Amino acid sequence: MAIHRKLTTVARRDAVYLGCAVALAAAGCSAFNPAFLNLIAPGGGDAFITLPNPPGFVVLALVNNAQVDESLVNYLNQRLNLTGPQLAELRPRVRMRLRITYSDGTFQTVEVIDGSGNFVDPNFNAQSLPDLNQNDLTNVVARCDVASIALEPGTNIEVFVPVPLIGFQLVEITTGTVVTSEFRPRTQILPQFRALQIDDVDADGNTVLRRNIDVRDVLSPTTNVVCGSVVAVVVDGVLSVPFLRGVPDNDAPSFDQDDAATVASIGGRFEFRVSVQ
Amino acid sequence: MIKTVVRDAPSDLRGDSRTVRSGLKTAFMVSACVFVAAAVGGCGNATVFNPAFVNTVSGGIVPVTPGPGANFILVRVLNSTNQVLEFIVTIEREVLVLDADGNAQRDQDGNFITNTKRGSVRLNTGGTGNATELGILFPCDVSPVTKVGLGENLLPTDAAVFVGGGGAGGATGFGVPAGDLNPLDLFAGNFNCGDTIVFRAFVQTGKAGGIGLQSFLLPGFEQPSVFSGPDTFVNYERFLQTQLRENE
Repeated sequence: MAIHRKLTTVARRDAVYLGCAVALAAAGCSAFNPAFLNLIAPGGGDAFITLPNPPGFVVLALVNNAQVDESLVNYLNQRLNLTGPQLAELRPRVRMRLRITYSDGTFQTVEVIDGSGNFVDPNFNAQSLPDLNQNDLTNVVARCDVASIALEPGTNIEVFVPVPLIGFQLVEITTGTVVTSEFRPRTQILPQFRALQIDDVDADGNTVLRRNIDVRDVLSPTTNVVCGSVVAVVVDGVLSVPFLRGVPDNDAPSFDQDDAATVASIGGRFEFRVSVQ
Repeated sequence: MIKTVVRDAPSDLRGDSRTVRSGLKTAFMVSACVFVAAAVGGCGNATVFNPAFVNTVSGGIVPVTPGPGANFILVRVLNSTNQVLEFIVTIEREVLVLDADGNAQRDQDGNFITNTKRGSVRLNTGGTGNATELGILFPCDVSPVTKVGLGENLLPTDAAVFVGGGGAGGATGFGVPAGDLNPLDLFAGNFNCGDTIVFRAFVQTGKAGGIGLQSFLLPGFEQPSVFSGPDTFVNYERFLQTQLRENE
């Protein structure tokens, strides 16, 4: 009888230990004071902490398929001496801010950026523009449920123009009775990110002034994104700068500052489409 | 649901604790059955529960980690501080050294020569709701990611998070050092390609800035291999492959 009682006591004690172990496993140790856990096992208090499973994700990606205009590459490569493989990898540096709005009403703004950061006029001190040296951010992973993804209100998509541009003005010079016209340098635009502009259209939708993006190629918002989707913003187009002909001793990128169409086209031509997988 | 059954119990049964317990038990079992049936029985196509909720509980709807199907490392940052927070996520990867023709260079023994390259990204998180979390995918097939941590140089004194900034492009707020949150190392077996790494910031008194930091790992091989919803990371990897140009 005494032996049986002792065995029962042992079994009861083991059951208590087992119960403690189960409770520990179930509670992830959060039931105990971390100071106590650190006392018996330094750092051990953090070892059992777990997080709940995430519900799933939506991947937002920037895919940069744009190219650099050949005349710009030829001009800049005289100074950079890029190799064939490096030339093949050239991409205009494009950035944009996107707003991810969740179904609970909260939102995040992410700045995605991609493209060649070293394709810039070597006379220009690239260190003075930290954004150029910023690391690429071509994807972010958002938690479900995502209500919409759109360009951040009040912001523009920007492309980096890697060379200085000289603005010329046609002036008339009178020498005695002879009047001649020639271009004189008036302004200079340093290498910088330039906001891409949408074409000007009239009331009938006809293009009045061609800028950087056709009205049909703007970045459209994506709404009610299914959990698990991949939302890719694909950039196509060509980065280009004007070269003003007819100016003696000037082969640098330049433009007639009174030519509205040329000024509007600085930066090139781009199109944006959103692909949801 | 359980509360409703107890409250609506017939008045003649009130006071009979055994019957009430029995009703509670029945309600609990019915609830459990409905829940299990909904979760396990392919609730992805049903409209009873939000698929995101079902995926949290039982999985199998959409993937929550890239592996083993896709060659990415997913780094998630989780903000549990109720303040706007910017995480500085840094990785190191081994990158092949190429010659002028773009060919990978080898050493005398024929092994590929690699350079260790480090890169940081800033991930902004909000103080409330779903905006408290954000992630980024790092490809790990060609150039393996060898270290993942917080802070630009992966040092204990580096600012790992900035608290109270203005979001993307805005003021950065004040920095909180990484402290004893060591970077995770591939060669030490801390993670593998296909895994998910989570960095969490939470309120902790006695720490610099009142912010504590933790890291978690979700191994890729632990998740189901078949999903009833979109296979997120595999779809993304395939999409990127279709976007490669001829000269690449």
